[in-house]
Amino acid sequence: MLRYLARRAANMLLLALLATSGGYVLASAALDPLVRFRGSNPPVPDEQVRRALALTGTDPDTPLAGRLGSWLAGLARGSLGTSVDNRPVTSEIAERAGTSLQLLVLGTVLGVGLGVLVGIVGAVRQHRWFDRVTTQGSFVVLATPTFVVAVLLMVGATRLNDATGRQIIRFTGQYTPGHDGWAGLADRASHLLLPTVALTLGLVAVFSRYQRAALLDVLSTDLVRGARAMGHTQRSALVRHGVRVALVPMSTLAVYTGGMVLAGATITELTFSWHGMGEYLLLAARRGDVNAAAGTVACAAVLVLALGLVADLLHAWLDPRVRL
Amino acid sequence: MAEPLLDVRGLHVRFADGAHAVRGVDLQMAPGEVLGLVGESGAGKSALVSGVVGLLPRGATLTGSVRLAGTELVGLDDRRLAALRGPGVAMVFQDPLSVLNPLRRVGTLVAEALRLHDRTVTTHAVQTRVDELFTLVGLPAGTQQAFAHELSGGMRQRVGIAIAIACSPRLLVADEPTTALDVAVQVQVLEVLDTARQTADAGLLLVSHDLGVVAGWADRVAVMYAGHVVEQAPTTDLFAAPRMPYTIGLLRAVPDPRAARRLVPVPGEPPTAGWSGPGCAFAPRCPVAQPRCAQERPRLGGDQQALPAHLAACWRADELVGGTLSLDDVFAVGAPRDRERPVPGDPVLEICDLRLTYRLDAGVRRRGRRGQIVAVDSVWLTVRRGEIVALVGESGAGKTSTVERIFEAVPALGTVRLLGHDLARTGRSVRRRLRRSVQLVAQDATDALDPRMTVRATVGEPLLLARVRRPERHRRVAAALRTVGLHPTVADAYPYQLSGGQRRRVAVARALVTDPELVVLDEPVAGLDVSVAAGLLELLADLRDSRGLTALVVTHDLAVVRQLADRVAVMAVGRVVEEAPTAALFTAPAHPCTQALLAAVPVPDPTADRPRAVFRPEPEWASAPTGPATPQCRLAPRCPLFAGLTPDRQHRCRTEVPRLLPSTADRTVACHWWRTVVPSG
Repeated sequence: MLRYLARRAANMLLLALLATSGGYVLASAALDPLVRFRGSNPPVPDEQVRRALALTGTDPDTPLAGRLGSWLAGLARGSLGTSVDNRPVTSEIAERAGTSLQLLVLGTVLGVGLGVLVGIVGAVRQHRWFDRVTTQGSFVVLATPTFVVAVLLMVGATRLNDATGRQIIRFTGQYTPGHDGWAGLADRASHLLLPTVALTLGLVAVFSRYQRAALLDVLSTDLVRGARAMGHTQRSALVRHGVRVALVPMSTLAVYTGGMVLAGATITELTFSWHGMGEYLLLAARRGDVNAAAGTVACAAVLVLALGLVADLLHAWLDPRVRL
Repeated sequence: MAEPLLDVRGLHVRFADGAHAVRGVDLQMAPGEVLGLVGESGAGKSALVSGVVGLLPRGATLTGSVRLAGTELVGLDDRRLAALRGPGVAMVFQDPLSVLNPLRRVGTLVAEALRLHDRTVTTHAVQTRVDELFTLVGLPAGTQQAFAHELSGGMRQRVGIAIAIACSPRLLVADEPTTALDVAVQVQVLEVLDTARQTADAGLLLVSHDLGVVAGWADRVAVMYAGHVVEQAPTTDLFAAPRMPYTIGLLRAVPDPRAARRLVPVPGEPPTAGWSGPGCAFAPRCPVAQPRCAQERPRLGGDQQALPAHLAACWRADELVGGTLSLDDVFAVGAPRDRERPVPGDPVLEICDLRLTYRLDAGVRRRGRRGQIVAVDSVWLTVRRGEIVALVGESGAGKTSTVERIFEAVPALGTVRLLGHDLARTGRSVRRRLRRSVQLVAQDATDALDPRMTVRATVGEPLLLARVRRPERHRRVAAALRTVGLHPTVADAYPYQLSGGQRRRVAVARALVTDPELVVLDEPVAGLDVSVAAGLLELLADLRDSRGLTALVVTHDLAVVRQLADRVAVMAVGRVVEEAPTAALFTAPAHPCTQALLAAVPVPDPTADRPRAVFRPEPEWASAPTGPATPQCRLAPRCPLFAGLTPDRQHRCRTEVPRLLPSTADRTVACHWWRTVVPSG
């Protein structure tokens, strides 16, 4: 077990290094650090541009290998470099990660939980009305781009607010300045509602399909019949034997998806004007901010890899058939 | 019968898709009785027992009456039925791996069965009972901690039995409990099942397609056909004097491991599940059907006075009882085959000292870290022109690996010679020609046939590869189909339009179409119904007699071997341990392993000795990884002969691999001490 962990950790480190280096190289190649100086009036003096580029380590006159080397050296010291607005990328990311995680954790937990429930009910009552409605529903959600869902939700919220004449649901930003204490908390919850729903819907759609298929697989064996033959009622046989077995593959998928949601959350963050990681990445691209882009990619890579390991460990722990 | 344990009356089962699987069954069982339920696939056996246990799939409807010790089960709600399942009626399934929860230790599962019906029971009492049950089914206490996937098939089924009898049920229902197991293990499991039944003093409803199993273990037998019980009688009566043509056909279609005989395939096919008609369902296939049979369905009747009664659903049962209609009038057995075999010709296939090991890798670049599995460990085998040789052995003995080597699907050490050419030393073009002269009939015809190809394309494919032109190809395909007893119009059909038996025949036709020197048949009748299998076995025997078919038959079914093979090679733990002409091997098996296999074979005759388990422990070593092989007889740990040897003789088994040596003119045996007679017991 320990040997396995050590091997996996070493593997992960290598992969993470490759991914982050790749991220940096890609960002350097794709982004133009000079973009923010162009077209400014009066023109920024060359000397100043050079100084700014040197500060972020993105001077195009330095060979790419050298830039990568010094960036990696910084990484080894725990620094992701400086962003174009002269702030350390590390602290910026730390700040924004909190915002993103808030959405991510809540969305994943809700989405996976509800999705699993919907999938179970769908499988148990296969081809009945609930199954049909949720099946059609999930395909509709999956076929709709996230921002469309988000905009539709906002339209609905606006209608509601107009109809009631009160600001029940607030959906711009994370909070309204000037509230604190309980009022502040309620305000934050109100802001959290729509982005969470937008994120959750997509996950429910995906997970209900997976869970439904997994449970149908189990139900096609004699496992539930066997449990009933032992003296379980249909319901308790399903819950105690059928569902538990079908949950194992879901658990690992859920953990992994937590990382994958990052991409989906980018659009949600933008639409609802949340200052999270996704927004940071897009901002970096627009400002030609190589360090910020590479830093975000590095974080995502580490997160996904770590969650992969967690997923594998969880699977091995839940299922005795899996050996590490 | 006094108060019957089980009293089924007018039972109907209809499935959601409209199939009418059980069509008015009456069935009684006395307490402690073993009732065998036989019939071919689709006869409604499983639907009937599922109905009795209350485990029908959703959407199925059950009408009629099922009384268990006086309690009516039909119409009970799920909760009441659940309370009865366990203490009232319990079930043993065909595939324990899919029944046992993979996430729980098997001991926990048995404990759960106990707790479900007595929530007040103490942990200590449960543990005591679990220990008791594990001892009863012959599992070491340590296995309680195991998960289902860690146990062998036989051990899993023992766990299944322990769960079933945990609450001492009145009625035990076993649905094909040993179908997935090797013969030796099958006997052990059936013995355990019988012991468990006696301990719980339960009745046993034993569902099986295997007439041998039923003959050995059932007190009475009920035969099902198209949803009806068509005959029901004490086992000895039913086998000695069947009164219903379908039963007669069934009994005459079963191969007997004691002697080769002509098999009688029942013509035609059973009706589909949606079938309806006023007459007897068997009438269209019945050789002695009368006009009345098609118009009016005969009820299950007979001498009600004699107890237990012999009942048959046939208008002509009385004539069969009275002797005015003989069994041969119904299904005549053909004249015995001329067993004077011509002297076999040159060797077609020679396998010399074949060895094959699989590495167990711990990951890429960690090859062989987890040891190795010796799949084939010295196989010697010769097939001569015009003879059928059988390669038999339990699963894991290395049969398939050996066959795969013939088709060069796996790399191995040793020599394989086809038509005198060493495969390893011939050039590419010769090898292609050689390979074309050997054809394989795979076990599962459904998997082996491409669903998108017509029968003509499938059968003609080997000819296409041999660059035979189209008109000639079509002519030869039609001829091959005729050879295997199929009408040439079948050529335009797709596999899904054919029955299982027809598909198997198509697979044989494809193998024969190029006139190969050697046909390799992997489990030729596994999974086929008795009457269909009979037709195929007769066909193969006819091909041998008329066309001089040369074949290697790989199987674990010794009755099939007896029926078909001229010579037999017995494999165990990757080695050929004995090779002899079929009759000699069956009448006087020399190797302890052969003896054990033969002792375990069920015989379709209730008056014969019941099969016995001679090799006690199960073959776990078959798949166990081993380090570098130490020279020893790997069979020793489970060998009954070894156990009775003096220590100095045992020492030889432990330190020297027995070589395959000629014992008589036509027999070779690989055992140091096979001549030693050890008192049985």
